[in-house]
Amino acid sequence: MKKIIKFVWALFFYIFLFPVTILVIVFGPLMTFTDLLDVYKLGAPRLGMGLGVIAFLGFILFLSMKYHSLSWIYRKFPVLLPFFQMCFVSFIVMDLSLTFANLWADRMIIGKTAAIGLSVLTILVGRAFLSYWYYKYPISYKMVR
Amino acid sequence: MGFQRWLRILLPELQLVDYVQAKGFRGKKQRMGGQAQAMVHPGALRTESVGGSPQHVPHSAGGVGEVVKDAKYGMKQMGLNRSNEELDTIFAEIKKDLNSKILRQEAFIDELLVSYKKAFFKREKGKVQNTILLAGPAGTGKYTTLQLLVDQLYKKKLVPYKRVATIDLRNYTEEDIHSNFVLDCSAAFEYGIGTVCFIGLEKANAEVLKFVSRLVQQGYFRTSNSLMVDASNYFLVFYSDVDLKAEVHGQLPVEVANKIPAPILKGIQSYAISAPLMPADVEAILRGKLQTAARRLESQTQLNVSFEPDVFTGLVERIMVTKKYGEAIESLVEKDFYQGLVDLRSRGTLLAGDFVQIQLQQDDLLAAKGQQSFLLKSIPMVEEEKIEDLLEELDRLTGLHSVKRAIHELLETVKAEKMRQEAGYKTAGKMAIHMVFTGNPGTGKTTVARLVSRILKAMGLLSQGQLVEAARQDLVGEYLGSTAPKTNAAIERSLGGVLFIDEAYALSRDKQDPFGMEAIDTLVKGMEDHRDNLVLVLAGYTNEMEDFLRTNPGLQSRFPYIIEFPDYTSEEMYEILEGMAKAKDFTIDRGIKEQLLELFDSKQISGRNDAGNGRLVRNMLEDAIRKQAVRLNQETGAKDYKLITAGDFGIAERPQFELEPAFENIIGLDNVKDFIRSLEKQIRANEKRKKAGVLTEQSQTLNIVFSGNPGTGKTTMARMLAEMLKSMGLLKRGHLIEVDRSNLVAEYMGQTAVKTTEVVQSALGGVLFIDEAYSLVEEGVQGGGFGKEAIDTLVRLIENHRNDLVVILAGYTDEMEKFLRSNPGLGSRFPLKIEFPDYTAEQLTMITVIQAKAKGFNLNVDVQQALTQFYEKKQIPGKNDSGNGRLVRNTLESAIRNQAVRIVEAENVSPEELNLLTINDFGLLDNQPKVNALKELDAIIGLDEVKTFVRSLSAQIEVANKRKAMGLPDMGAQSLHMVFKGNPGTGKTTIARILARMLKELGVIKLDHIVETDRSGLVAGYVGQTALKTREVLEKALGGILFIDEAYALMGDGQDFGQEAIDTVVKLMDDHRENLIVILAGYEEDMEQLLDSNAGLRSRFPNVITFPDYSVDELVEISIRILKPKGYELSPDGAEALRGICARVEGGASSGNGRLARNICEAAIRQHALRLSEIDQPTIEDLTVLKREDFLQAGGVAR
Repeated sequence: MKKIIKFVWALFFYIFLFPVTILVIVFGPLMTFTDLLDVYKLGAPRLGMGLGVIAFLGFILFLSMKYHSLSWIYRKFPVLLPFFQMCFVSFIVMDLSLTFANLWADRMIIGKTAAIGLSVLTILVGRAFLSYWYYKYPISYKMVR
Repeated sequence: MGFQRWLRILLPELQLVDYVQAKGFRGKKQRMGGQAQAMVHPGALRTESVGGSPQHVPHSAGGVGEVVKDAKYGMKQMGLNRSNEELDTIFAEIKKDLNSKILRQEAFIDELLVSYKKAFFKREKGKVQNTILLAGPAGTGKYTTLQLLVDQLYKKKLVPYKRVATIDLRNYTEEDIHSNFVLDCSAAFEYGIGTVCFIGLEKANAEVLKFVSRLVQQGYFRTSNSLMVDASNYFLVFYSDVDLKAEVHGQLPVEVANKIPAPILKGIQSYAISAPLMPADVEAILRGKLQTAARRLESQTQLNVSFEPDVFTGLVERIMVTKKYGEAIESLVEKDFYQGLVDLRSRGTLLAGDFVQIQLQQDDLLAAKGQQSFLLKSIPMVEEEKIEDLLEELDRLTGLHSVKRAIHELLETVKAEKMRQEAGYKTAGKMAIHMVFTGNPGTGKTTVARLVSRILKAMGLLSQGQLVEAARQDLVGEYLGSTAPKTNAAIERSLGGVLFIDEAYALSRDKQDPFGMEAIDTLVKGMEDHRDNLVLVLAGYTNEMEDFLRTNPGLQSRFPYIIEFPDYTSEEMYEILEGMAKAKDFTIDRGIKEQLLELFDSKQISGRNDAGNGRLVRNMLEDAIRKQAVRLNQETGAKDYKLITAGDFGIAERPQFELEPAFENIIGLDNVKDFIRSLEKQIRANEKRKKAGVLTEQSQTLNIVFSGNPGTGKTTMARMLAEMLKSMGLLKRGHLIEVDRSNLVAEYMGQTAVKTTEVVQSALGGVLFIDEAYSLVEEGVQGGGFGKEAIDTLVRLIENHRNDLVVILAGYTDEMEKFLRSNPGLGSRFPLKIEFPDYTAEQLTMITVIQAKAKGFNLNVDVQQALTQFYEKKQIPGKNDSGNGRLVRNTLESAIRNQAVRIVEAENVSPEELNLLTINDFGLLDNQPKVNALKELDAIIGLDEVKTFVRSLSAQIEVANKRKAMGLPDMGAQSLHMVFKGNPGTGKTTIARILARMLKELGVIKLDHIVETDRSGLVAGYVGQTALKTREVLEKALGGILFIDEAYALMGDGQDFGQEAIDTVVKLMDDHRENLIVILAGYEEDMEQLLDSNAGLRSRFPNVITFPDYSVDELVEISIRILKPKGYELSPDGAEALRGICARVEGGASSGNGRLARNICEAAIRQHALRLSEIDQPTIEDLTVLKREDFLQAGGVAR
């Protein structure tokens, strides 16, 4: 019985929740990045995903990694896990930097220079985090000491 | 770091590509993948959890937090880089600071600083900075120095944290290793840099040590749960308290090296050894600490504390002895001095502004305020135990001479060794002093072991002198393979002391005990490995220990001292009792020493392990104290609370055992009584000798054989004897254990000896009564069977316990004699043989009276005489089945039953008659036969000679009886055995039968039964069986007549069994002359031959009666007698014809005589019937009268 429920839940998860989440998470950073460029190019605000949505997507991602019945896809394609992690971190970073950009373009709270600075800094910190993280827990054999 | 790596760090996405290249996009099966990935990501091993979560997800959930922490650590690291000049100055400052705080440890501080400074000069990241050993006497400030140093380093910004993580390795048991130990370790090494101090190395679990040594050697270790503990950038400090005699420079002292496990010792790079403190240093430290504390008190509690000058020296003296130095000072100052005064202050005993002086009086540290003084702490001088004191303590132990001798011997050896050494000879080397203590429980084995460990320490043979007590469960593990570590742990614990294994024999109870064996093997190995620093003492019961030492061939040779702890004698026990009573502040009444000795003697039975020895004394004393308490509570008036009297010990004045009253109730058995009387006389005589001061050994073998028929009171007597012997002091407990074959002999091979031993042990101190002992001998069993085993065991045990055991064997006389012959040693061990004769009729009557009285019945006056007569008839000597005493009981019980019927059926029974047994109840009234046998004799036709003989015989007997009644001298029993000679059918059996009845009437024999037998009834088919068979028949005939028909058939040549039968008959005839009459019957010539064949035969059968053949007239007469009861008559011509037939056969040897007459009659009746069947209507006359033709035809048939 328990097994069936698990299976049904996994089926539901993989049909309805997961594909959309993955689609957003994988393409979200790129789209957000083009948005960010557009903001600075056009000076017009663009709507980001918003941290709440990202948190929700992160939660779904977390579920898929946490539970055995849901982590089927990582067992099948192990490389997806770090890939999704990277995408997710990048997505957060991009969204944050878009938020900073919007602070200038939309609400005019900060100046343009500060906004660009903050955006770039955010992206750099995010990249640094990724770099450090995958230095510390490498996935490539070329990283082995 | 190459470009490839940098590229992958900058663009982690590239790692994904690598991953896909290396492993493909689709994951392999998990198992294989795990391995491959392990190769690819060694660092990811730690996350190799199975739950499907991919390998590179770190355990820590807070990824950002982790990165931040790492960043912080990196920043800290960056700040720590100092130039060498800076380092020099910083360390110089630290050194100055430390030296000002820690006294007299310059060398130690130098070493410690150097070992830290080295690491800072090397500037190696990602490695263990240094592995440092801190050793030295306890309380010399090792740990404090370390803490101060780290504190200073922190302040000078050389280390990022000021914490010193301490891991006490002693705390982790086997189960804790993978949980608590690993957790604590990873917590300690969490910061990435710092100092971790390990303490308690000596007592750490082996598994823990393994991890720690890996940490030392590799810089990290992994647990089986894939947790990694990494010690890079850490200082590892090992802390160990080692007692050093003097200051050591430049080298690692052996004492230290011995204490540190080898793998760790290998990894140690620097060490700092602290120096023991001199009294002056201690005083300085103490003074400083006390004064600081005093100032603190002043500021916090407004107490003005001053010290008497000699307080310091006194305290220092006491502290030096403990060898704990700083620790002792710390605890004294903080716990006793400061806390004590604060306590007094808060209680209000001391008030603000009071002047308090601290004094040391004797062993007490006091705070004095004016005249008042308050105890802060009592500090006795603890000194090294002196060997003289210990020896004195040993000598104070009661008894145990062999033990004392062995210890003294050992002491002398050590002394001699020392002298040799001083004289410059080679030393004999360390000798093994392992010991085996054997003895019963409570003989002080543990006490002595404890003392021995202290003595050996005082002698310098052991370094610590602790006693570790272990039993089987402390050495043997629960599962295979766990025993050796457990045993080793016990050995480890007792290094430098004594490992005392109580009940050591339990380690090898049976051969199929791999655990015990493993423990023994481990012990043997441990003994050899730590020969110079471990003494093994095994203790257990003597026999079991002997067996135990044999289990391992190497065991016995390794124990040069095998010390037997003998049971305490009563004198020693008294001494112990006095000592114990004194210790409990009781006194024992002086006058009861003798009684107490006796009491101890009676409790202590050698061969029984249950007396308890020393424990017995303790139990008795405690019991006495309880009883005394009860007594004191009941007493009024002045009470002596200390005195324990005889009554408290339960010693009542022993009732003087009076033999005569005890004998009163025993009827008969005079020889038994005589024997006991003689014993008593012996004891009296001994008492006399004792009074006169002449001492004689009074132990004697009292084993007795009771032989006699059943029901002669053997068991009763045995029970009584046991009691008597106890009250005479010859037996200690006086209980009777009654056993028979089934209790001694077991069902299976090899169990008999055990069973017998158990029985004998249970009987120790009392009487072992073996009923029907002869049944232990089994005839015809190869090797004697189990019964023989039981006998052999008994013989041995009887010898071993001859002072504490009386064995009584009981059985029938003859069988017992045979039994005693069955084992050559048996007869000599039973010097006393008591024959229990059958009771006489008078005795039986008396017993009846007594028994009836005991049951509440009275016997009518006339009953006794009738009973005597009755018993006389019942009791046949040689016949075992009459029952003797049991006969009385049965008779009485049936009488009581009869009486019950009588009084219920009768009306108007007076109350006295309700328990009156009359002659009627015993059924003795109708016991007089009315038919006269003589008349019967007269009725027999012919045999006039026989009749005459019988008449004369009866007349003779009658006269003899009359003479007896008149009181004239008895002419004695006369031989009445007879030989009946005559042809068959001459009435021999009939006459014998009549004779039996007649003789019974005359009272010559007791039963009127006649046992008829012939050769086949007497002679058996196999060798040796004839005598038994004959005896059986004879015994059946006892009290009556044995009639052996065709007796001449017994005669044969020497090989024939018939001769054996004759011999047996003759022998028994003589034995039971008064109870048995044997009649031999047979043809005249053959009987003559028989009588001639054996010389003694004719004289034994004085009465020879010849039975002549019947005459014709007699035969006719007989025929008429035969026919008459059948309702036939003879016609005159029929009688004539009969006479003719008889006349024709007369004189022939085979005529058959009486039998001929019967045959003819019967044939005639058949012919008559044949004749009548042809007649249609026979008259009555036809039917009853036998005619001539009947006989004529019958004669032909009969012939």
